[in-house]
Amino acid sequence: MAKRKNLKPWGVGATVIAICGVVLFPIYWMILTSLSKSTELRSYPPRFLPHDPQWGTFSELLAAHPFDVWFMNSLKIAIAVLVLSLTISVLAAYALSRFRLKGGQSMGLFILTAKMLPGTLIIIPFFVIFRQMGLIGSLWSVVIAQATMIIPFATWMLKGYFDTIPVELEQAAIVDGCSPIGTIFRIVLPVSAPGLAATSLYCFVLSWSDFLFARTFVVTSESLWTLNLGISSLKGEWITDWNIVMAASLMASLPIIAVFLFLERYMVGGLAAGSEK
Amino acid sequence: MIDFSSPRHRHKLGYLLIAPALIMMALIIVYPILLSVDISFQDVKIARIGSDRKPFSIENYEWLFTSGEFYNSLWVTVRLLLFVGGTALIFGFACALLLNEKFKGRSFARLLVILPWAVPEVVAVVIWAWMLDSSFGVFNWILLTTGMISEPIAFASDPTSAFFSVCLVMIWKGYPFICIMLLAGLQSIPEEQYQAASVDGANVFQRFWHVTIPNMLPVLGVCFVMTALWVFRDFAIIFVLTEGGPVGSTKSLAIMTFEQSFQFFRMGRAAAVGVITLILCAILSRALVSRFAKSVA
Amino acid sequence: MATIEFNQVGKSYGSVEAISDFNLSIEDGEFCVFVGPSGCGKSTALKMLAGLEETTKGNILIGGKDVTDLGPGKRDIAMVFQNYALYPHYSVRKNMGFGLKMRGYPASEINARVEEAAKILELTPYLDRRPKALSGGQRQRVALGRAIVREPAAFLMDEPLSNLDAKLRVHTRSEIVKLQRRLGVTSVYVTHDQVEALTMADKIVVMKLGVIQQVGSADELFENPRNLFVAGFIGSPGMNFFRGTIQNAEGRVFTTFGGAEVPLSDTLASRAGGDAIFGIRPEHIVMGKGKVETGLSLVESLGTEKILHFQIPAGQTIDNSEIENDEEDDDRDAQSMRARIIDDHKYQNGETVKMDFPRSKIHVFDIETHEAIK
Repeated sequence: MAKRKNLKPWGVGATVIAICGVVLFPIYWMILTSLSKSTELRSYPPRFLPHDPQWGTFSELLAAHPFDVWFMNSLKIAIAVLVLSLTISVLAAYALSRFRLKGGQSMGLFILTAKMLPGTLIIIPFFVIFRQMGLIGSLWSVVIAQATMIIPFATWMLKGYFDTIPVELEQAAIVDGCSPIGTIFRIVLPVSAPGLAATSLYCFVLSWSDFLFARTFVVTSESLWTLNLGISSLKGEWITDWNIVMAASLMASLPIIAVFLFLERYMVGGLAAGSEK
Repeated sequence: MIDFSSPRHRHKLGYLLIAPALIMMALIIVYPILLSVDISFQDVKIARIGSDRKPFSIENYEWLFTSGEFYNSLWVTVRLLLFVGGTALIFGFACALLLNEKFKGRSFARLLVILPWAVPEVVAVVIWAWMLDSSFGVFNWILLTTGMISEPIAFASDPTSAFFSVCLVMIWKGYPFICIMLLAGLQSIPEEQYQAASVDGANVFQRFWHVTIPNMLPVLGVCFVMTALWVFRDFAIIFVLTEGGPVGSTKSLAIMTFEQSFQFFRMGRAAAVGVITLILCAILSRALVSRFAKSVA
Repeated sequence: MATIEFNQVGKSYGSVEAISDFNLSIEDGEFCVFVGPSGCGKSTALKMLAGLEETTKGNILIGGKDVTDLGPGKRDIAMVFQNYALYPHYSVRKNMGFGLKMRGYPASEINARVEEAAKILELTPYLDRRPKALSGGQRQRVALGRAIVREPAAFLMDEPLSNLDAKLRVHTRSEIVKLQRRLGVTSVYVTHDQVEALTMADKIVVMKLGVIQQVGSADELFENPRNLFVAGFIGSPGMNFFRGTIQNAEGRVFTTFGGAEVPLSDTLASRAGGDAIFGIRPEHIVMGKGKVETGLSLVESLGTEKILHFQIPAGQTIDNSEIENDEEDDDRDAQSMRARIIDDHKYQNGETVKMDFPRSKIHVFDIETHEAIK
């Protein structure tokens, strides 16, 4: 028994390290490749350790492709989606959590529908509607389409979190003379900061990885390309400069990985609150 | 101006707060769905709203059910679903169980294990495309060096290999979310249940089978449904990696929908495929959710 | 400061009536306790008074002003919640000053009042801590402090002691009463614990299923319960009940317990021949003399005090459901009665003892309506 007790942490630790090694290898490979000369990439056997890092790949990328434009477009879309989705979902989730509403169940239906709705289907009516409204070739079309997919789930996550906040907190504030709207901003939102963080992370990750909507609505105007659209265009039919592609991929992943590292700790708790329902 | 703090008017605030979401959902979910059903019943190339709508026709559905293409896509999707869903669920559950152990640096390990979730799908695809490159990819090199294969695999041009390369990327992207969900589920199992089982003499495996599994069944069910829905609808991974090829071996329903609408400009047909996909997704989530819900009741 | 009045107040959820015909007036400076088993509507009544729940019928007046449709913030009340409801993201100082800030008081005055209240409640060293860093008792005092800095017309308290451990609860109970006397603010206090009600209140309102059963002081409720429910609910252990027939023979009015005659008040002579439910409090049973002879089924010794259990004769028991008070007094056993005795006799299980039910201490209730018969 004593022997097993000593072995167990080692076993767990070794397994965790092994798993991390396997699942993170692609990310390591991306970084390594982005720092390599293109000629090295065709050498056999491949090098597994960094050697003479080529920082020039990044300037090569910026010179050859409008990477900065792609990046800014992705960022604009992500911020707009985040603001739009969070505003609407916070209000809706709060209403669902605190009021017995007659139409409340229909929101549940929307959440379920949005989870089942194929993106490739919804782009057809969206395309028709946006063309009518003159939004094709505008980033707003991408923003609206992304919000469709994000708002229902964000509402569900936030409602789960709001449900864990004792209602007496708001009652106390109202008795203290705070207005009901003021209560949301002064009490509910500060107290649910972790839930908001988890939901923001979810919104940001989803928005940042969108390919379908950008590919459908803004593919024809190159100045509106997002990172994903740009990177997918770098993967050519015959010859691909993998070091450039990996440099672009790395730079596209950095913001999302940074946000992820910062907000990940709230994720498990946020999902736990939501999934209990 | 209504005083919403008054007990008489407070419930009105609820309706006011939910109104933007309901209006938005009606405009961007309900109306588009109705519109796409409408388009699926028109023999139309590029659909429009308004007076120039085409007459009602079930031609798209006739084409769908008589063409082998639809059945091929359905079969590809189902195979993807079973393979990716099954593997990602097992791997995700294993990771969740591991991360639920108490060890030093656990939260850091959790961060690393679920990191692929944050990597954008297109980025994931290009990384894997490079790793699976048939001439210089590291994957082939590893397989060759370890003697598992004697010839490099042509992941891009061989139908079976292409299918499995899609699976690989999907599993890599999909397992972290499952892992987070299952970890949350594991952490909500009361410690007392394990202690009670230990006192009753249950060993590690018996505790896993009699405490962990029954508690986790509903969450596992939800996870499988969510993964299945994701596989059913995912577009970016397959499109960027293989565009549905070679010879349709990775053409899922989602790819077929896109191909019909924005490459062949047969929006009527595309809408029909999409509507069928939506119905399949609805059935899938309903059947699974209720079955798993019952098994715990 | 303010009187409180409920006029014909009712509350219904759809067709379900949670509270009906609620009439009550509370004097200025009075300490009023709503007590009853869970689900009796006491918290709902308090929340209606606070303006947190809609009043569906009647009206509520605070200080003579109709507040039925006013928001909680406009009623000049302060409330203490069971879980304290302290704002976790604010320090103790900001928690206590929040209400004043919402009312636009200048910072200097808020600070002065908070310091003052903190001194009264011995919270001064903790003013800059977050609630998380406080013990349960300290949090409870912060909740009280948040109420008193406002100097409101009325304090409302919803089971403020039930999250404290037993010892602290007794201590805080007296602290709250002292504080209330000192400030002289009209207070409404909700509890399920009749001991709290008896020890704290000027006026007790006993509720059951949304209906007021009786309003009165502790002594009134104890000595003259208006019905079977109040009789069983107030007192610890609760009143003993047995069923019997009122008899009148040769000018003696009595009922029987087992075979023994139990004399009753002469005023019951007119009801002779009818059945009734009789009640006697455990502390009113006199041991060692009298006509009733019975074997003790259980002797519980609490040091000086002893609780003696003995069987009710067959056919004279009543169902717990008839008292409709099974929940809060779950040690009640329908088959046996209890006597609470302080004397030097060493009682043994199974011992046969004599006892007397003094005529003046017997309560008589109608067998159908459960109302007290005078």
